[in-house]
Amino acid sequence: MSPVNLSNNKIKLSEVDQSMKWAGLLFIISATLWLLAGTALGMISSYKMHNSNFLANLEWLTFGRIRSAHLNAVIYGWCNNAIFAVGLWIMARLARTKVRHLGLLIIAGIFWNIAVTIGIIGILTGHMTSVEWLEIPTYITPLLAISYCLIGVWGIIVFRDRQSEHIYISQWYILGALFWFPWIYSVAQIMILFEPARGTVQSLTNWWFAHNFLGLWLTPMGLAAAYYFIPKVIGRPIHSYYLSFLGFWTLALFYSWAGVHHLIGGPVPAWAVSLGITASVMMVIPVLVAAINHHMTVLGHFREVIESPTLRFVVFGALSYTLVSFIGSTMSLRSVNEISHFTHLTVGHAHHGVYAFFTMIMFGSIYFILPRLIHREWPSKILITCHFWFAALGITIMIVALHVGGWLQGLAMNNPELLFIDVMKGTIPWLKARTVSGFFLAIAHIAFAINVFWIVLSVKNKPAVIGTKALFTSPHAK
Amino acid sequence: MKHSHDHTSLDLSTNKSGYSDDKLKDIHVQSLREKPTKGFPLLPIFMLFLFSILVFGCAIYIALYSGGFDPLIYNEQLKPVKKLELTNSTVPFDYITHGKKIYNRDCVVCHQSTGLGVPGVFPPLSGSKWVTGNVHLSVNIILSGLMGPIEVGGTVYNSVMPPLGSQLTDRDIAGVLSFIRQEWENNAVEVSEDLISKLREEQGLRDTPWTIEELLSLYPEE
Repeated sequence: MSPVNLSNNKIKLSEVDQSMKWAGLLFIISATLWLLAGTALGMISSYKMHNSNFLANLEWLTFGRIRSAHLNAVIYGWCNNAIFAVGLWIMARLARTKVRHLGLLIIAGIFWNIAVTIGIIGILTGHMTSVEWLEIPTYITPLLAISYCLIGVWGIIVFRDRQSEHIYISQWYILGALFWFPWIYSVAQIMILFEPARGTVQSLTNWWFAHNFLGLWLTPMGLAAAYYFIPKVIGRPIHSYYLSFLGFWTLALFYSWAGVHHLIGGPVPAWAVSLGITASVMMVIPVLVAAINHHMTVLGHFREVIESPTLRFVVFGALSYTLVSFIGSTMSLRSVNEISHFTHLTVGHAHHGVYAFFTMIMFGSIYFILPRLIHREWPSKILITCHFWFAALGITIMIVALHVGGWLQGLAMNNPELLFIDVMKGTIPWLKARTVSGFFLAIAHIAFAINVFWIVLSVKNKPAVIGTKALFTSPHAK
Repeated sequence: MKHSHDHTSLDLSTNKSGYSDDKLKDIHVQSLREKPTKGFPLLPIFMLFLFSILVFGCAIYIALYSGGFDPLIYNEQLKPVKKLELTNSTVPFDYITHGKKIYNRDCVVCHQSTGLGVPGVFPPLSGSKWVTGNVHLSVNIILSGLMGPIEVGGTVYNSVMPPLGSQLTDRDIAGVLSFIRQEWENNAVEVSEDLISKLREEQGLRDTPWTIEELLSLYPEE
C-alpha cells in the first residue's frame, strides 16, 4: 500500500515537528497563560458566590462581568489555543506533511490572542453582550472569526497534502471540527448579534451554539486526541476500529440538535425541545462507541497509564467523557431537567465536560507534544505528578460538590414550602467546597505552567537541562 | 528509571511498546480489512439491540410529545388543534396593523406619517379632539368627506377632504380609525366594524361632503 511505496520520499517526523515548532509554542504558551488567567477569574467568581462583599466595590470585578470573563477566557483563550496546538500537530503528524507558510499561521495566532484579550477587557469594562458564551463585544468578534479562519485553514491544507491513503479516525474528527466551529460561530454571531432573528429563534440559536461549542468543537478535538494517543502510547490497536466511524457520524448527526434541551420549559415550540431531548438521548450511541474503543483498548494496560503522563491525563479525560455524556443524556430528560435546571448542577456538568474531559486530554496531549516540538525533556516529573493529582482531585471535588449541591438545591427550589433565601443559604457549603476545589486546580495549573515555562526557557544545550533536572527532580532521573 | 524514561523518551517509534504514526495507521487499516471478511456482524449484537430500543423509544417520544410539530404549541402535553379553530378563537383580526396599511396608502399624503398634517393646509390628526372624540363624526367624515372651516388645535382650516366610503370597506375604515385613534399622541378605544356598517346604512353615501356644523347638529356634543 501507499505507506510502503512512499516510504522513500517520506518526510521525517522530526521535520513535521520542526515545521510546527514556533506556532505550536505560541499556542501552547498562550493557552497556558489563558489557563492561569481563567483560573484566577474563575476563583474570584467562585469566592463571590458565598461571600458577596468580596471585591464588590470594584465595578469591573462585579460577579456578572467576572463570571463571563472567566467563561470566555477559558473557552476562547485556553480551549481554542490548546486545540490549535494539539489539533494542528496531530493533523500534521498523521498527514505526515509539513505545515507551510508558518508566518501567516503565527500572525493569525497572535491576532486571535489579541482579539481574545480585547474581548475579555471589553467584558470587564462593561461592553459585554447579554448572550451567554458570546459575551465578547461585537466590535472585536469579526477579528476573532477572521483569525480563526486563517488558523483553521492550515489544518485543512495539511490534510489536503496528506501522504497516506487511509484517513485515520482522529483526522475525521479534527477535519470535521475545523469546519463545524466557524459554522456555529458565524451563524450564532449573525443571527443573535449582527442581524438579530426573532426572540425565540435567538434563544434557540444561542443554545444551539453554546452546546455545540462543546459538542462539535471541543468534543471532536478531545476524541481525536484520545483516539490518537491511547493506541499510540500503549502500542495496541483500537478495540473496534470499524465502530469509530459509526461514532463519528452519529456524533455529527445527533450533537447538533442536542442543545435545545437547555430550553426545556422555555417559550419554545414543544417539538423543538422534544427533538433536542431525543437527540441528547441518542448521543448514547457515539458515547458508547467511544467508551468501548477507549476503555477496552486501555483495559489490561494500566501500567502504561500510570507510567505515562500523557496516557494518565488522556485516560482520565476519556473516562470523564463517558461519564459526563451519560449524565448529560439523563439531564436532558424533562423529568430530571425540572430539578436540575437553574441549579449549580448545570455549572458542575459544564465543568465536567470542559475540564474533566476536554482539558485533561489537552494536558496529556501537551505533555506529549511540547518535548517533540523543541527537543527537550520535561524538566520536572514531580511537577507533572503534582499537576495530575491536584487537577484530578480538584475537579472531582468540584463535580461532586456541584452535582450533589445542585440536585439538593433543585429539589428544594421545587418545594413551595421553602423560602427562596433559605434554599440559597443551603447551597453555601457546596459553593465553599467549589472554591476549595478551585485552589486545588490553581495549584495544578501553576505546576503545569512552571513546567511549561521551564522547558521552554531552559538553556538550549542539553547538559544544562540535565543539570537542572538532577537538581530539582528525583535522583533516579537520567 | 523506568518512569522517567517513559515520559521523556522523545521518539516513540523507537520505543518498544508504542506505535509510530505509520504503524498506528497500518494496524488500523489492517483491522478494517479483516473484520468484515471474517463474517463479523457490523455491530456487536448487544449494541444493535440497544440502538434499536433507543430509536424505537425516541420515535415514540417524538410522536407523543411534539405537539404535532405545531409552531404555536409550547406545552408538550397538548395535542395539536385544527388550524381553523385556532385562528378563529385565539388569533383575532389585527385591525391596527391593517389600518396602518390603509393609512399609509390613502391618508398619508395629506395628514403625513407624523399625523401632524401640513400647517395651514391639512389639519393634524395627532392630538386632535375630532379624532379621539365622538367616533360617529369621524366615521361619517371618512365615509362622505368634509368641507368648510374646522378648528383643530387652535387653527382654523378651510379645505376639502374627499369622500372615501366607496373605495374603503367597513373593515378598512374600522382599521384605519382604530389606528389613528391610538397612534402618535392619541389614546382612544378601537372602533368596531359593526359601527361602520351601521352608520353606512343610516347615512348612506352623500353626494356632497359634510360640513362640521351639520355633523355637530346630528351628533351634539355631550
